[in-house]
Amino acid sequence: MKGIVFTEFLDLIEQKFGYEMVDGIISDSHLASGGSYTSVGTYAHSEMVQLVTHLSERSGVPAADLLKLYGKHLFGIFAQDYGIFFKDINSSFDLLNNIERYIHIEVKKLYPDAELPHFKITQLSDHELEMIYISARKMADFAEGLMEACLIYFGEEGHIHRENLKPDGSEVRFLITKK
Amino acid sequence: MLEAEMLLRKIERERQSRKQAESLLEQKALELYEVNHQLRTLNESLEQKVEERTFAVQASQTRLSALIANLHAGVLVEDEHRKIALTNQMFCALFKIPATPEVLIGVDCSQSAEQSKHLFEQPEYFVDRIATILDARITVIDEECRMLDGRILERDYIPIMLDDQYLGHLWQYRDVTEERKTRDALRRSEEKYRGIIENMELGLLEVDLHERITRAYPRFCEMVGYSQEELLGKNAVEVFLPPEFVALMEKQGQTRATGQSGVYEVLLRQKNGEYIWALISGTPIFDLDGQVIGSMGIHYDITYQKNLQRDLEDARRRAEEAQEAEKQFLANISHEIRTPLNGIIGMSNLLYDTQPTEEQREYLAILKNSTEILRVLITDVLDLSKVRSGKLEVQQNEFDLVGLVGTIVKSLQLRLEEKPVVVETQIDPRLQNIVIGDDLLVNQILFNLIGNAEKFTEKGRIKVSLQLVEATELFLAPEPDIFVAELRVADSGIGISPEKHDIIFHTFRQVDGDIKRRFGGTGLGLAITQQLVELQGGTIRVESQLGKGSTFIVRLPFRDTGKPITQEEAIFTQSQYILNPTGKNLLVVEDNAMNRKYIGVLLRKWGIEYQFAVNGREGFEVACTTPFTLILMDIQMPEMDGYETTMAIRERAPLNQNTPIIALTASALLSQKDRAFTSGMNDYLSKPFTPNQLFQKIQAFFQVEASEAAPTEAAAKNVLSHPRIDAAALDALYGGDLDYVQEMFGVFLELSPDFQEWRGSAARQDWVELARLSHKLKPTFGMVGASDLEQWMQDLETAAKKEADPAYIQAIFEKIETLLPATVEAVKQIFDKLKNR
Repeated sequence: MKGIVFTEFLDLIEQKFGYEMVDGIISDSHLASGGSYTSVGTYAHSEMVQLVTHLSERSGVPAADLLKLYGKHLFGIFAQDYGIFFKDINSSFDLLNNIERYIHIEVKKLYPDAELPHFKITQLSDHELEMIYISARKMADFAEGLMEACLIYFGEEGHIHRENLKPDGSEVRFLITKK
Repeated sequence: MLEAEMLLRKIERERQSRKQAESLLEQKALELYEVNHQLRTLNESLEQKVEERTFAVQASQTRLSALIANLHAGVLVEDEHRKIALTNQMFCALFKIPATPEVLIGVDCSQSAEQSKHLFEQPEYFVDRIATILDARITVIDEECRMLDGRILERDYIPIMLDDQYLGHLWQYRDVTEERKTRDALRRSEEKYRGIIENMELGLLEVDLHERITRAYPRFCEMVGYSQEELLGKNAVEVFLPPEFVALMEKQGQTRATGQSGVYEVLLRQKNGEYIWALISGTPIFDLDGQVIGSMGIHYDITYQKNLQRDLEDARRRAEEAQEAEKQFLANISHEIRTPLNGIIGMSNLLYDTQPTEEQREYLAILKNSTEILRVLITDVLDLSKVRSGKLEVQQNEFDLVGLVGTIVKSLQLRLEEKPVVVETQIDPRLQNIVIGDDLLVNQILFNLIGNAEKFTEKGRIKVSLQLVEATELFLAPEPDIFVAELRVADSGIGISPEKHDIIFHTFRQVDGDIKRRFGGTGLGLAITQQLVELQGGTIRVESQLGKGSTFIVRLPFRDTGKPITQEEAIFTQSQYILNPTGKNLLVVEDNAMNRKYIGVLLRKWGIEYQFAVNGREGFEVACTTPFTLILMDIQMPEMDGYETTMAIRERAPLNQNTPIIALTASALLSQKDRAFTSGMNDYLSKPFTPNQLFQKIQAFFQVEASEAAPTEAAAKNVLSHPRIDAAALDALYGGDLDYVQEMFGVFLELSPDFQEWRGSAARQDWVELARLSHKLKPTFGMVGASDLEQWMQDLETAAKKEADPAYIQAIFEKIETLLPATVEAVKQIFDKLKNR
C-alpha cells in the first residue's frame, strides 16, 4: 500500500486526536516499518489494518466508519495533488467511469508495484452507475468514502446503495443513483 | 517526561521517514539516470535513422525530379486541390509557358485549361474534355489533341490514389507530330502501292496461318463475287478451292511458312458457283519480330488466257489430227491410186506386145508417157509428205560413198547412150574410207539431181564430182572423224536466171510455165531434195545462168569409219553381177497366182530361167538347195513374209547368202523400202510394175538381152465371144495372144475353189476377211474379161471395209453369187475351145 495512504492517515489522526493518539496506536501495533512512513514509499497492507483496528479501540469509533471517513478525506487530497486526473472531467460519473480505463492505468505507470482494487463499472442510465468492487483487501468502506466525496466534489446529490456480493466483503456492489 | 519521550519517538520516526525517503530518492535518481542513459542512446539511434531516411527520400526525390525533368514528355502533377506539385521544362515548352518548372510549383491550375485553350484546334472541346476527365477520375491513355500550329499531342491522365484516397493526378503530354507524319507517310505509301496493285486488276487477299481471311481487297471481292464482310474470318481454302487444288495449296502454304514466295495457278469457286482461273503469287506476311503471321495472295484472273490456251490447244490438237488424217489418207491413197495406175501401166506395156498398128503405137506412147508423169507426181507427193511428217529418220549406216556415186553415174551413162551427152566423173582421191551416213537418202538426192540434169540437157555434158571440203572453209572446229563432202552435179543445159534461184526449191514451183510444158515434172523434186539434204544437216545451193547450164552443190556431213573401201564392199558395182548368160537362174517368191503368171510370162519372153516359190517358207527351202543369180521377193505373204524370208536366206542359206534380192513392195512408203534394205534386200520395185521397170531392175544386176517377142497368132475373136465375157477387154489385155488367154483362163479355173473361203467369210459376216478376199479375187475377174463382176467385187470390198449395212453387203454378195455360175461356165467353155484349137 502506498505510503501516502499512511502519511495522510496519520496526519489526519494527529489533526483530529493529537499526536498522543498517533503515538498510542503505533505503540499498540507491531509494525515492520516501526511506524515511520514516507508518502513515496510502499508498505504492507496489514500495517494499515492494525492502525485502524487500534484507533477504533482507543476512540470507540467503528473501523468501518473510520475507513469511510478517511476515504472522504483522501479524495480531497487526490483532487488537490493529482489535478491531472480531473482535467476535462465534469461529473462524478465521468470520473468514476475513468477509474479503470484511465486512472488506474496511469497509476500503474508511476508506481509499478501499486496494488489496486478492481472495479466492474456499468452505466445503467444517465443517473445510475453500477460499480462492483473486487479486492482481497476488503476495503469497500474506504471506497464508499471516496465515492461520497466524489459526488460532493462535483456538487451533486445522490444516493449510494451498498450490497455485499460475498460475505467476507471481497466483492461488493455499489449502485450510485443521482437525483 | 512522558511527553518528552513521545517527542523523541516522534522525532525518531520523522528521522526514519526522512532516511527512507532519501534512500528512495537515491534509488529513484539512479533509476532515472539509467533510464536517461537509455533514452539518450535510443535518441541517438533514432536520429541516425531519421538522417538515413531523409537522405534516401532526398535521393529518391532527386532521381524522380531528374527523371521528370528529362522526360521526353510534358508532365504536370497536381495535388487534390489542383495546385501544381510537380512539372517539367517540356510541359512549359509544349504549352509555351514563360516560366521555369520550379516557379510553377504551388500555382493553382483550376483555370489552366481555359488559359491554354487558344492553342488548340477545338478550344471548347479541350476545356470540356479536361473537365470530364477530372470528374471521372479514370485513367485515360493516348488521347489525341490537335493544336492550331499543326502539332499533335497525345495526352495521358492518371489519378493518384492512396488507399482509396484521392491525392491528385498526373497529366502527361507527348508531341507525336513527327511520329504521326511518318506513320501517315507510311500509310499513304502503303495505300499508294495497294491502289496501284488494285488498279492493275490484281485481287489481294490476306489470310492468317490457318488460312482464315483477315482482309479482302475490293478487286478480289469483285473477282469472286463476295463482299469483304462475307469473307472475313472464313477459311479461304474451304470457300474458294475445288478439292483437287487443296493439296497444291497446302504445299504452297508450307513453302510460304519458311518465308518463301511462290506462284501457282488454281481454279477459284465464285459465289455464284462458277469457276475462274487465277494466277496466285503468294507471299508471307511478317510481324515486327520477323515471324510469319500469315500470307498475302495476289490474284490475277487468267480465265481468258486459260480459255484461250485451251482453245489453242484444241486447235492444235485438231490440226494435228487433221495432219495425221492427211498422212493416213496419203498412205492409204498411195495404194488405192497405184493399184489402178499400175494396172494402166502394166496393161499398156502388154499392149505393145499385141502387134499394135502404127497409130495405136502412137496412142500407146502418149498413154505411157501420161501414166509415167502421173506415177512420178504421186511418188513425189508421197515422198514429200513422208519427209514433212517427220517419219523419215536419218539412218547411220556404214557404206561406200564413192561406190554409190559411181553406181548412179554408171546407170546414168547407160540411160544417156542415145543422147549426145558426155558424162564425166571426178572423185577426190582422199576419199578412201567407208563412211557412216544415210546411203538411201544420199542415193535419192543424187538420183534427183542427176535426173534433173538429164532432163534439162539435150546435148553437151553432165559432170558429177565428189570433193572433200576443208574444215577451215566451213568455219567449224575440226572434229577428228567428221568431214563434209561436196557433191556437184553440173550440166550444160538451159540454165536458170539468178532471180529464179530461190523459187526452184519451193514446192510446186518451176522456173516458168514453159518449162512445165516442155519438160514436165511435178515441181517437187528440188523441194524434196532440199528437205532431204537439210534433214542430214547439209546445205544445197545452185550456181546457174540462163543458157549456160546449172551446177547444184550439196554439202553433207559424214562420219569417217577409218576403214578403207575394199572390193567386197563395193556391192553396187554392176560388173559383179554380169554373169554368164547361160547360167542365169532367177527365183520368184510370190503367193499371188496372177502375179506369178504375169512375171512368168515376162521372164519367159526375155529368155530368163526362173523358178517359183508360192510362199516365204517354200522360197527359203528352195534357196537352201539351189544357187540363184537373183531373187524377186514379195513382201506380204502368209507364214513367212518377205522380210523374214530374206533374213532367213541371209543367215541360213549359204548358197544364196550374197544373192541380190529385189523386194516387190505393194506400198509406196519409204518405210517399207527402208525395212526391205534393213532386212538385207538390195533393191525394191513397187507393185504393180511395168515390164520395162522389171527388166531394168533385172538388167542392173545381170546383163540380159531381150529376145524378140514370138510372133503372135492372128486374133480369133470369135473364140472369145460370149455374153458373160467382155471380149474387148480381153483383146485390150492380151492382144491376139490366145495362148496367153488360155493360160490365164486355166489359172482362173484352178482358183475357183478359193470362192468357198470367200463364201464362208460372208456367211460368218466377217467383214474384214470378206474385204480381204474380195480384194484378192477382184483382179482375177478382170483377167478373164468379167468386167461387171470385177466392179461388183470392188463394191463389195468397199462396203465390207466400211462395215456398211449388212443387208446392203448381203445384196451385193447375192448379186455376185447369181452372176458367178454363168461366168465360170463361160470361162470353162472358152478355155475348152482354146484347148481344142
